Amino acid sequence: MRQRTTHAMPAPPEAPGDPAGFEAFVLATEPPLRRALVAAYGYEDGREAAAEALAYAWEHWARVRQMPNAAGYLFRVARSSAARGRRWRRPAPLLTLPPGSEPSFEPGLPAALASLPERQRVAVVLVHGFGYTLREVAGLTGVKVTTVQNHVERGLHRLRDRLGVVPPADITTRSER
Amino acid sequence: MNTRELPVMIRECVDGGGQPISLGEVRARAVMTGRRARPAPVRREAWLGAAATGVAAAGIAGALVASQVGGGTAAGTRTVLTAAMLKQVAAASQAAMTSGRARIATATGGSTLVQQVTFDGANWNDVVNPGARIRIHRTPHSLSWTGESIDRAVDGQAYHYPAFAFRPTPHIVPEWMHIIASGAGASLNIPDPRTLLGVLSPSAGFVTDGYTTVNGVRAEHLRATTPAAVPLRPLNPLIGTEPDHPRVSALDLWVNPSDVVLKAQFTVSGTDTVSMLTAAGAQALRHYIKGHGLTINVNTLQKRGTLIAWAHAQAAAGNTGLAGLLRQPGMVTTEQVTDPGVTVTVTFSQIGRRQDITAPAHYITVGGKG
Repeated sequence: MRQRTTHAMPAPPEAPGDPAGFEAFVLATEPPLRRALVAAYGYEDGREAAAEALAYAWEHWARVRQMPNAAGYLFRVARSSAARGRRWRRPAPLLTLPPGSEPSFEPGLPAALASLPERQRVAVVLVHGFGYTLREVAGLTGVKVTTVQNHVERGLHRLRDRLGVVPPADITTRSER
Repeated sequence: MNTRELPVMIRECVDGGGQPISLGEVRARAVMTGRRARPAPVRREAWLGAAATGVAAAGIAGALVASQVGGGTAAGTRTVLTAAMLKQVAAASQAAMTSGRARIATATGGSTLVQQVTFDGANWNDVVNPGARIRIHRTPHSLSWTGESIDRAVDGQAYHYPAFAFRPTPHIVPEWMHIIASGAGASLNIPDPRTLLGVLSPSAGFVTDGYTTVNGVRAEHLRATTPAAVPLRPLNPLIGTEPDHPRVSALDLWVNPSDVVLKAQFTVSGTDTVSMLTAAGAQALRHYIKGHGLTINVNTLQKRGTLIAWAHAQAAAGNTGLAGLLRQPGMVTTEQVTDPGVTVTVTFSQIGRRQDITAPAHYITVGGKG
């Protein structure tokens, strides 16, 4: 007769079917999903929303794996999750590094990014910052390619204005002087 | 800084604030939240429909989230609650309120009626005027009473504890009645306070409006900005009386951090049509009173509103001369006045806790309530 243990351990989660497929999915989906949500909601809320969406994918993997645009679906799940979480409390400031950390980038960049509308910010970060294609970002955020392109152009214009970034043409001009 | 440096800095800015989410973290989160991988749906066609609905719902929610006032929820900013948020509040409240208590205070024209409703599944207890002593008011023409009375429904059986002496004096001993008439349980008319969850509609334009404490719990105040758009039907069971042309003129909810409604307050007002003496009518009536030597309070004489009420009462009591005077053209006019209506405050407590609602130990059996 086996002796019953007195310590209750949390049961390990049931592995979803096709664990290798889920691992590959996380590796491919996590970076753009997290970056888009961090751009939209900041470090804390964005990362939390991305993690929650991936846990949702774990729970519903049998269904999610069959979706033609699972990343886009999870982005919407994450946005709903973030909206619920942010409803009851004051959201943390966007892209504010912890006190004491020394950023290796222009100190005004977080505030300049935060000043952009959310969709422009997401588009600029993903397309201009990380080099995702317009089509990839359109698929993730659920808008048309041309819309993403407009968001990128307008967002970049505002960002450069705010930061005083010199456009390439002016750089050339200066170097020629 | 030139434009070629910008992408590098954006990458460092976005990726520098947190670590990537590992597969282990996703698994750990699944353990902590008790998630289990669900099996694949059996019917692919059915899944496609459900997935499409889910995506559509998420898309609507996302679109509505984007409509938040000012694009954010900074302190002092009022946030518009989206359809998805209201659905969440309604679902969480409905799921939690399988049992509990609700104090319903109905204020009408300076008086307030209080009911303490306890519910647990299909069993109900409704104490009207809880704690109020029985008072009998006798006039030469009428007998009325006030005091605590109880309606109770247990396993489909109806019981009533009256606010008056069921047996005649001198033995004033109220006692429980078991009502065995067909459909007696339904005739108790115990209001279900959960029906007010039906007002959780985007048409009400709910916005957040700060925090307060309800029953010791921090609760967020949700205020309807367009209460007139709220349908009256979910509120009807909670309204004892309502004015003519009723509409919801104020609606406030307080919800706890788990999205469960702790308190609700709404006002139903309307427009009443009242008879008023014209200036000429008031003068003619004063002449009539003086000419016939009728006794009347000076204050009543000076106010057209109370004067016509007095005149109608005199006419109803048989003063045919006054009745004829009031019927003359130009004496009386009708006016539309705003009726402040009724304000109902519902405060929930002990939500989800079992309530002990049992049949009375002793009762008499009657064929129908009252």
